[in-house]
Amino acid sequence: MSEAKIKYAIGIDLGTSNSALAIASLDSPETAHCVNITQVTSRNGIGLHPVLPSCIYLATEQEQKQLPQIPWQQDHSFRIGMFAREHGAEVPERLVSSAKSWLGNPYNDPYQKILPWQSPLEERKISPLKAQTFYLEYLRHNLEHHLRQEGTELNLAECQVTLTVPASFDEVARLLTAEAAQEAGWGEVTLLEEQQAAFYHWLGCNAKTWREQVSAGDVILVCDIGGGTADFSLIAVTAKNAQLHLERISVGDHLLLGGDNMDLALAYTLRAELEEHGKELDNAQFLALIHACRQGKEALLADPELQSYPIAVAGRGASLFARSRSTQLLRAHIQDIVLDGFLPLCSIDSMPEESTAGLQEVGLNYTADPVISKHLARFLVNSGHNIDSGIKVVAELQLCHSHATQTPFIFPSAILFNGGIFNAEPIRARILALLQGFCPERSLRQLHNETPELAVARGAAGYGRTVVSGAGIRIKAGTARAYYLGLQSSMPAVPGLKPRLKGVCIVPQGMEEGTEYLLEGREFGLMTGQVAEFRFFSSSTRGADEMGTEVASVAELDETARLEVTLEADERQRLPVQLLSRITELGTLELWMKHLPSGRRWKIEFNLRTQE
Amino acid sequence: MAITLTLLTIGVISTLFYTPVPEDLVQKLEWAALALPLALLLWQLIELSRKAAREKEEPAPPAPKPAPRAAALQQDPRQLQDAAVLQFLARLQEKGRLVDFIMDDMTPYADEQVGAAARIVHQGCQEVLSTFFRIEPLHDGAEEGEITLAQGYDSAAYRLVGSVPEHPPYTGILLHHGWVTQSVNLPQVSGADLTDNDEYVIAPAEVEITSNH
Repeated sequence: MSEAKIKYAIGIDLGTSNSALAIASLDSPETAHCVNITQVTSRNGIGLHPVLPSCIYLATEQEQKQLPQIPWQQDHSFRIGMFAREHGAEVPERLVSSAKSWLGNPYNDPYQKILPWQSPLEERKISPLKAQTFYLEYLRHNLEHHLRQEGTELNLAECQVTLTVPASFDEVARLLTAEAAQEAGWGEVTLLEEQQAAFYHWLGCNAKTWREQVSAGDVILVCDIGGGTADFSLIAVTAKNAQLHLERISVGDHLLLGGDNMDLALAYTLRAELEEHGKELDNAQFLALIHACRQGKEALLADPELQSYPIAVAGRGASLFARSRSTQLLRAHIQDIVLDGFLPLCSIDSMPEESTAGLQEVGLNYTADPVISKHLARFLVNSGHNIDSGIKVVAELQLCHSHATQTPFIFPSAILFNGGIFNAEPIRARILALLQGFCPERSLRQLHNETPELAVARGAAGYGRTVVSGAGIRIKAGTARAYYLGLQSSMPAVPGLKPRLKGVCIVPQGMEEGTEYLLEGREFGLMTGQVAEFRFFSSSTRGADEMGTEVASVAELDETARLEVTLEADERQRLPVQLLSRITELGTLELWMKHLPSGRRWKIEFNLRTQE
Repeated sequence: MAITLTLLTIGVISTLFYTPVPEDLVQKLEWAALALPLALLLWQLIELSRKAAREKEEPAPPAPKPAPRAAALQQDPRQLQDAAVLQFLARLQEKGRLVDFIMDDMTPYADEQVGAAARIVHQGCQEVLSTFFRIEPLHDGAEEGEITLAQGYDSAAYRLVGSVPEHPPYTGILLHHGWVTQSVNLPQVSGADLTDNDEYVIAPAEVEITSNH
């Protein structure tokens, strides 16, 4: 890249349900602001909104000509954004949604044209990666369009672009996201964990006072619950030479569980009540009921005095009086379903139930247990296990122990909420009470997040500014997981017994950007010109493992992808090579096979084709 | 062909005018100067008729794409205004079923049914208004309270009724606090709803398609 002076830091939040983009000028100290997104808002209008619903509607032949057209969009076969989400909800076979969740799904080939999921419109389907590319491309054109209206031409050589991904995304999903950004014309982007971005936003908003708000020994839980996903991260505050340092010490699993599940649960309950009175709802009426439940939930959570929220759902025909169905969303519904259903008070020993169905239907890996409290408990226990097993224990960090079972876990001393549902005070209060219940002896406080919906994009832009200027604090993070190569144990052959597969650590947890490691003492004799395949695993709970550490059985690891490498060479021979792993400055993982004597190296590719 | 003929004509005429030409040739050149433009004219006519014939046989090459209606609208402020109002109405109908509410005969229905319908209208229209405007009371004071308007008050913002003297200051009772919007964020108009025969679609007819595959 040329040495153009960086003028702007751009942050992109490519969300599962909504996306946003923020920009910060490096010449001004102002915090980043979100760029409004031009989009088709209805059958006959184009409007501006701060977020872009991550939805693609595949228009019919006639609609392609008649629906409003976005000035920069050359291909009129689809529409992205609000209209897509609203209209598409009633035409599910033409609606692409939740594409991002498919990227993090190891059992699915992200290049395969599968969306809209289960749609009969085979020739119209696109791959999850393509959908992500479309959103990113759309955001780029929108930014160009808006800057041009202000009299500025977007020059990406002058921009530091930061794209956020869930902390729980593995290296493969991260790589795919970076690839989509490249494809969408953004060039090389820096990847940043969403939960860290939210924390950077908080740091940016409290630039003068954050050092007074936290102190060494604090552990901050970033509790991020979006429309359809939940993610948790822990950030520890340490002190070195009288300076405060921040380190992201733990990352939870990606849960396909969020605020939309609550609205859905409320709507199911009200529908069942209506049906008891002989009132049937069709699909569109049910969608309207979900929408009304969301509004009712927000109203009841915002006003503690309100006891019920009346809901009326219109019939399909033009007669509003004859066909409307009315019911009530009660405070008891919110209490029983939202608070006690999804966020009940529980002990730290409560673990979420795993899916018991032997064979799950192929599709998105929706979280089996909807109780968010239990997932939070498991996260804190796993984090304790991860830290406890690790040698990188932060000196100030003290583990808590469960009263009943003495299970160690990490108790956060502060919490930063992120996501729209935390606009509701009772939900924040419930999570605080839940955490406090895990360890009543220690204190817990809340860090104030002003814009829980737009914090990620703005924080990412703020982070980009820090990267360019070198000023301001950075969170020490590195890879959230450790990665392993599956190798066969050498043992005497026994008929009928497959040699056990062991894992060899090739990327330790916390490996930082810009570093590389050689796997010492292990040579692979590979034939040139031939594809060599390896199995690739990961773990988020083995903080102690270092380069080369062996795990006796891969059963305790998560399989991530397959690796393959072909040693291209002029003559056919067996070459002794060693494995080199590298985290680029942009935060993506690269694996290489290196022939030490000659210094030649070959890149190992991730094979994401679905394994049969 | 046309160019060759034109060049020849120019050549002949300039020879005739600017160079000494033998007497016997002058006549021939004069004839040529006349004949060449005639030939040119004839050639052009033939070309034209050929072209006309071609157009009759083949379908016309793709006509230039009719300008999108939105673009056409911009030339007609009146139509643009209609389209904007129409779009707003369409949105109130889509989200808040306002047109259904008004167009239905409500006399046969009980208050309970009217109430249920009113909630749909209220909720949906509120959503539309809050998307497009930021509506706040114009006057902060409580209704039924006293209010004083000084010299130079905005007569567009305060409507005075009762016994009103010629000059401020005015003191009176606030009957209605008024409304203002802090912003207007109406979507851009797309011409798609204007049909050619001046019919406006407020709400499309809804059709459910089943098992077409």
